[in-house]
Amino acid sequence: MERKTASTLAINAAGIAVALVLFFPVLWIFLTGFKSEADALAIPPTFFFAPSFEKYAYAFQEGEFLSFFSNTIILVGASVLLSFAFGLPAAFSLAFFPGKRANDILFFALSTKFMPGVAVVVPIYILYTKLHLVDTLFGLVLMHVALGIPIVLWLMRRFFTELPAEIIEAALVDGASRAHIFWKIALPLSIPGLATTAFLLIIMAWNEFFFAVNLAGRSAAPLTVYMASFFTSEGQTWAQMSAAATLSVLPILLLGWIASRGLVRGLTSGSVQ
Amino acid sequence: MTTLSETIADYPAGAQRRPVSGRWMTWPAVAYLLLMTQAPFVVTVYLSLHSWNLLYPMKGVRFVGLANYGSLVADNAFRMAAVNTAVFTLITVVATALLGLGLALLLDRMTAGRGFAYTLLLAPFLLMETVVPIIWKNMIFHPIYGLLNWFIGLFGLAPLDLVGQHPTFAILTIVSWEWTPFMMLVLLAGLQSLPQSLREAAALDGAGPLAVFRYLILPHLKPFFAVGMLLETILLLPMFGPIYVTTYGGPGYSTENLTFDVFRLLTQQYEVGKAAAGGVVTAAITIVLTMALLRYLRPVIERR
Amino acid sequence: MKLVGVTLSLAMVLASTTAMAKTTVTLAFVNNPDMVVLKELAPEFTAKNPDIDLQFQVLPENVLLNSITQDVAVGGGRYDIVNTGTYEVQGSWVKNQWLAPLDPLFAAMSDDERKAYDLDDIIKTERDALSVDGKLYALPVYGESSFTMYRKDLFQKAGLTMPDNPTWEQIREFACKLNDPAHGIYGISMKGVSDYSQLAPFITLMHSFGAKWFDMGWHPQITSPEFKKAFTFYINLLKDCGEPGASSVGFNEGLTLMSQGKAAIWVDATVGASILQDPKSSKVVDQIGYALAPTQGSSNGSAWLWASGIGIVASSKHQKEAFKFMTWATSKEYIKLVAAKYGVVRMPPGTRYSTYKDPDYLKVAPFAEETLKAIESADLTHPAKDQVPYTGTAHVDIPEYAAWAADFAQNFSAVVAGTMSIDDALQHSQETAEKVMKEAGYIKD
Repeated sequence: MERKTASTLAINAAGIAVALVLFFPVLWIFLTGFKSEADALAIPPTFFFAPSFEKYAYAFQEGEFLSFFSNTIILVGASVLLSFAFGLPAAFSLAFFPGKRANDILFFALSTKFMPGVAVVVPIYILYTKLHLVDTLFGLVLMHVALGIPIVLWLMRRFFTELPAEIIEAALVDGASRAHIFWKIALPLSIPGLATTAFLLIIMAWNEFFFAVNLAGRSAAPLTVYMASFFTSEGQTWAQMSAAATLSVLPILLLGWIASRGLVRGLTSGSVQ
Repeated sequence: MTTLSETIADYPAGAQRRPVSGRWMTWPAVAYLLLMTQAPFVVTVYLSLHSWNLLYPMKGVRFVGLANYGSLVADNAFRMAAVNTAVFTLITVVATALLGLGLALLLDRMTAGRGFAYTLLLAPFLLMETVVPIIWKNMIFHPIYGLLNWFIGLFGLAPLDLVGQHPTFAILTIVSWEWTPFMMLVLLAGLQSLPQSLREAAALDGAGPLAVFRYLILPHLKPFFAVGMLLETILLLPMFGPIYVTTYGGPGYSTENLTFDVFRLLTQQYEVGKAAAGGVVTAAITIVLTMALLRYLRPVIERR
Repeated sequence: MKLVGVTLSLAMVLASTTAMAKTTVTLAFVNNPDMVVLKELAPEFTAKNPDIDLQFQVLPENVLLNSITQDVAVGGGRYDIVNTGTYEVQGSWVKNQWLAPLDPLFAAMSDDERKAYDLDDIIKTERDALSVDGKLYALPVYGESSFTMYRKDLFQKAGLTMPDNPTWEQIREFACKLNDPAHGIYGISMKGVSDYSQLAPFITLMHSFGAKWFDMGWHPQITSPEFKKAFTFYINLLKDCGEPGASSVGFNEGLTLMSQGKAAIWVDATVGASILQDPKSSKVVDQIGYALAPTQGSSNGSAWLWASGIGIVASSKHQKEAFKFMTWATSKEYIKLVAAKYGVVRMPPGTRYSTYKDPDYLKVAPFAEETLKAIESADLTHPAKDQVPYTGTAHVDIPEYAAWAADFAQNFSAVVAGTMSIDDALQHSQETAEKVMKEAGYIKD
């Protein structure tokens, strides 16, 4: 028995050690934001230093963090909701009432993710110019929803198909309408799946850079563009950049950490039959 | 179209028996995707047959047939980009699968601190695509101020310019670090769906840990590998941020992938027509590759 | 489908809030220290002009340039005021009618305003760098040339003296004597990045060696013996006595090497000096000496001339308001404001003669005299020793420049990284340039 405890202890220690090593780069960028520019460049690296909030304060105020942050929140919130609004009924229908073309539709949805953004950005830009959608949150949301729908379709169809078939059967036998099945049965039973899907959509929308930088000017620019504004072409400012990077990733990290347990549960229940 | 259907056929048993018409529910999603992605793609195909340089508004948009495609095929950088796309995707997917498996196995056997380790390990996957390479390029790989060189200097080794000398390796390291948590996530979910009783039964039957791994765990994980690798492939084929920040496609064209090459055509040369042709070719290559992969993986995914 | 209804109406609300009532002037700027200062001081302008709302988009140079080009090319109207450098003005933007001429706007000024602005006070070479056919299209926020910056303390310790007009041979000699990687000092900090907008140090070296991009028939001269000699000299100097990892060193990284005391010599933009001289970012404030850019047989094109200007997009609907802001941001009053808020040493360099007559500035800016000399003597129209068909010291002022220079920069960087041979790089670059110039109709064979 003693050998067993020793080896479990070793495994626990190894797990935590590996996690710390792999997490170190993230920790390092947090710390660097509290340094002076000279300390940020110092070799040997400074592990102990008097922390300064100056870089964070600057990133927050002069960088107008809040206005980019609120853009990101609106962008992420609206695009996740709309992706669900379009994608959920389709996923539901594909899962429970698939027609002959169900697989074609699925593959078509997936294939839209293959198009590299650079290849479509010019036509979209021209179209947006005509419709006065350039540099509007509405325009960016429209684009993000197109990126989100295929994910909702694929993941949610998967989660829906794994609901116990008998429950749906029974409801149909009872003469329940599709709307009833959708709202009262399928959705409540798929909450872990919905959470997982929403989480992935949020991560992707939060971190999307390419369309943001191409279709937004200043008024609609989200945090990825804010972050890019700290890549300077004159003057290497690692501490400043680190502070800005930390501010831009911290909210999504916190969310990820809060959601992580649910995420494993979601993925697990989604894949267990 | 039957091949497509075969490729991803995955119906739940109960539903097919009951053909209830509810298919209109897919229309909004399909219409939306058609409008937002296919319409621009049609325009892209149209542009790919034309010569249009943004820097020459006076010359306008001229029809040139397939000339753009011809000059792409003749372009060394574009061919190299196709090879690099394969290299980046393949190596990263395999590396993250192995690393992710190791981590998942480790985490699965932890009795304490698992939540903590899990939380830390998840972080790289949540960072912005442009923030990740900044950390690595500036703070770790930098030949003068980087932690790596300070660290190997402690052992008396000469400084290493990883980004300049081994750019492909540098990018692979960065991307693998970013994506390993994703693979770990998927495989851990797989491990935890394996009933503990099965493992105990196998152990009671006298199977050693290696045999349990080989004959019980690995086969059980196969579909999870398949799903994880498929998703990762789809998301990594158009990789952009790490290349943009770390090497900008260089030195030379050694680290350009297809997406980056198209980006360069558009943003450095402003050749809209040629870039559009590059986009069409990229989309074609991606679709063919992913379909082949889907066809190969489908039996594995559905085996469960 | 309640959900759909709710989200759709939410989307409508979003769409409507993006439309604003006030006169909004949108500016697209490169993120560099002088532009950031301008952004930080902008509230002083809006306080006096409450009817104007300023929106800044600040981005890295290559991203920004691309956004602007895309926007003006398709008439997107995202921006009113854009950053535009010498190359954009001279190369294609004016030719394509993307920038509004400023002369009518100057003509509409009142006499008092015109007198206060004092256009003649702006250094003539900078004004010319932003004019086409005698018409002004942008106003300089800062101007620069290139010169030699070196560590006086290291030179003294080694018993070396930097001449006022060094040659590249001398620079090499000094750099190799001072190169001491074991103690973290590199003889010279040189660029090797694959970004074609950062080729200026190489281009000026190449021109000072008597080489050139094109002959009078627009035939590329990249494989000529002179070009190869210059290229080889640059690469060898970098490899023998320069910093490691040069293939990712651009202006930024070079400046950091210098300001953190890791390099003995740096030949680059004169604006770098303002930062080396600022104790907030530099460890070597009192140790920097300045000399003219090195030459090697030709002084034509041995230093570059660049104006970082702001211009008005031709399709802008708010030209009057935009112009008002531009003339404020490049005024004497603004320069005084920077001095008061950020310290005299941070006064925007290279734009006005009056800055170089300001005794306070001359006291804290030991680089002032050399900067003005370099800017006044740089000549865009005679970039090479021989007669050439092109103008431009840091670029070639033709729209096709990017098409072949980007390829040259990639090959250049590969040689710096050691993954390509010099001959291969020159051969490939020559072929690309020939192809581009033929397709564009410059070469008529």
